[in-house]
Amino acid sequence: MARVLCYVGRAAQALSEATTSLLGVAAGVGEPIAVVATGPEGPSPELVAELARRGASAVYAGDLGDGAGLLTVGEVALLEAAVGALGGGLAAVLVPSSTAGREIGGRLALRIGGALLVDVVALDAGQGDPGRLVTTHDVWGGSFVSRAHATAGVPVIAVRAGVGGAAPAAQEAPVAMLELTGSLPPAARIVGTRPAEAAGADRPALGVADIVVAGGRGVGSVEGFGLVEEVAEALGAAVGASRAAVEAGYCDKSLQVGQTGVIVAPRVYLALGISGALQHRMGMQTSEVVIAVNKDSEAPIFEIADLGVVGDVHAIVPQLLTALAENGAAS
Amino acid sequence: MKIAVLVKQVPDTGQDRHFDTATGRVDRDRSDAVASEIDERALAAAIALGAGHDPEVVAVTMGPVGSAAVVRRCLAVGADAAVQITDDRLAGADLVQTAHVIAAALRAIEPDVVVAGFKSSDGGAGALPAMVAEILGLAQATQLRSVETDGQVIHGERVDEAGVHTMTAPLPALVSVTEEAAEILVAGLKGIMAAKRKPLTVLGLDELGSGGARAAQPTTAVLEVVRRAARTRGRVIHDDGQAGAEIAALIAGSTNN
Repeated sequence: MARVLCYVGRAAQALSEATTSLLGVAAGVGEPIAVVATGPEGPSPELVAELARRGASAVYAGDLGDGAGLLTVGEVALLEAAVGALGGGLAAVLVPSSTAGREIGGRLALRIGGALLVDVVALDAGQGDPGRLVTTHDVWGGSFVSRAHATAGVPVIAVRAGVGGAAPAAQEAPVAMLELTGSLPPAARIVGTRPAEAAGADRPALGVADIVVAGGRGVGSVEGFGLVEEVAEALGAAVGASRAAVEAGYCDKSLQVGQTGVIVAPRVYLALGISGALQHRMGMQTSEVVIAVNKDSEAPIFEIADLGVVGDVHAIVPQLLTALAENGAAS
Repeated sequence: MKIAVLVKQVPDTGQDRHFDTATGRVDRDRSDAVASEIDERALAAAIALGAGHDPEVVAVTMGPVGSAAVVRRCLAVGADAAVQITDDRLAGADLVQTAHVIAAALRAIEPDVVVAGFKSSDGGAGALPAMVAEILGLAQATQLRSVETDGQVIHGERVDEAGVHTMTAPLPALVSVTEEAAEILVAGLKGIMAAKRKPLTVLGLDELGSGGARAAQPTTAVLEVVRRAARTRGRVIHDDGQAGAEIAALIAGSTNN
């Protein structure tokens, strides 16, 4: 059976919804093998057991060594070693479609003479040409869907978090430690890392949340943006923002939903005071249900909203919070 | 210090954009072509980076014949020279091909620093800068929201899913910048006049050496592109004091299964 390498990241962050997506998508077309970056001690038994439970039939691990403090090049070397260790029978390498994942994937594709396919939401064996994997891509925020395949070498495929189902659990995942021996190319050194300012430690990540509550210029101020956060808190939702809100300084840039920000597709997207510029819609229009509140009845966001409310965010949010509290008390 | 800036012409994101569904390629004739906004910021960041370091800024683009307009704009705003790679064989070029083309063009320029936007508004992979760094062996310092240099080392702050990273990179380096890194510069009449006297070199694939030959070979094929059904307008109500309760009910109904 064709084997599919899945880069699940560094051991400390290896378990996430993105990991489950990679293993699930891989299991649909072959045998998923997890590749994880660790220290010299290798992965913990708990991590290996959890990767097996999520579908990994084997775990390739490697100590990044000096590469642990460098940007990208350590991970690329690890994946190159994993490809080499596997020999033949490799159908694809999957990486998360994250900022770092796509960069790692791009460099790896060049290193192994393969191809790079990004923003992939599904992977299948294709029709009439078995063995050639076909990728399905979300293009321009879901305005278009494309299907493609690699024509040279092994495809490196960046898979969106939150797509695909879970893979069947594996009985066990034997661990192979890879030796990283070659010298690393010139690289940037990471001197320090701190959490993003607006992460909100107990909130779900924007890209994978079931519900996203987003604020725009219509919230009016930093204090007004606090209303968005209150609603998100009440719903256990992630907080997003339009570019206008970010540029007005109401919130951190990392919250920006849109073409040049995060692309989201939650079950519910609640837009508060967002007019719905095209570049914002590109980032959220594949959400299952869109609810919008805006003072301007002509706002373009209403053209794509399942429920649109013409009114003032500052009047409606308190009503909403009361209703949510009542529903919460009732259930 | 020699700085190369990577710029790209893209369909205007303020308008409806189209694919030629027969070829699977972006239909560049049906929207206005503009410079990718982030690349205009990259140019501004490059000019700021070079200040005080005897800078020479070269704008580089790959695209159809008309894409010369984006590098001309760079010349008007302060770039000293421009290179355009245009070749019919590059229509619909994939990421690996594009990386080989850009890398081959940069090899002839020999920059100390390459500056790019963190991702284009049309392809949007966000991988090309890292791929160019891979081919040329440049230190990759990408996704930076702030960047400066003392002439020897790049200092910057990167934002990605893992957090905010403070980083340093030795020269020669490749930098990509986010929207926060610099404000867009506006060309004045004087700049536009001066641009006419600055060199713009136009190259085809055959003039890029072995990198050009590698770039001619696609590594991916698009099977089909289809437009997804557009969302339609739903119910629009005016707030009568009950709108909050309606929103709460719809959220509960949409997530309780």
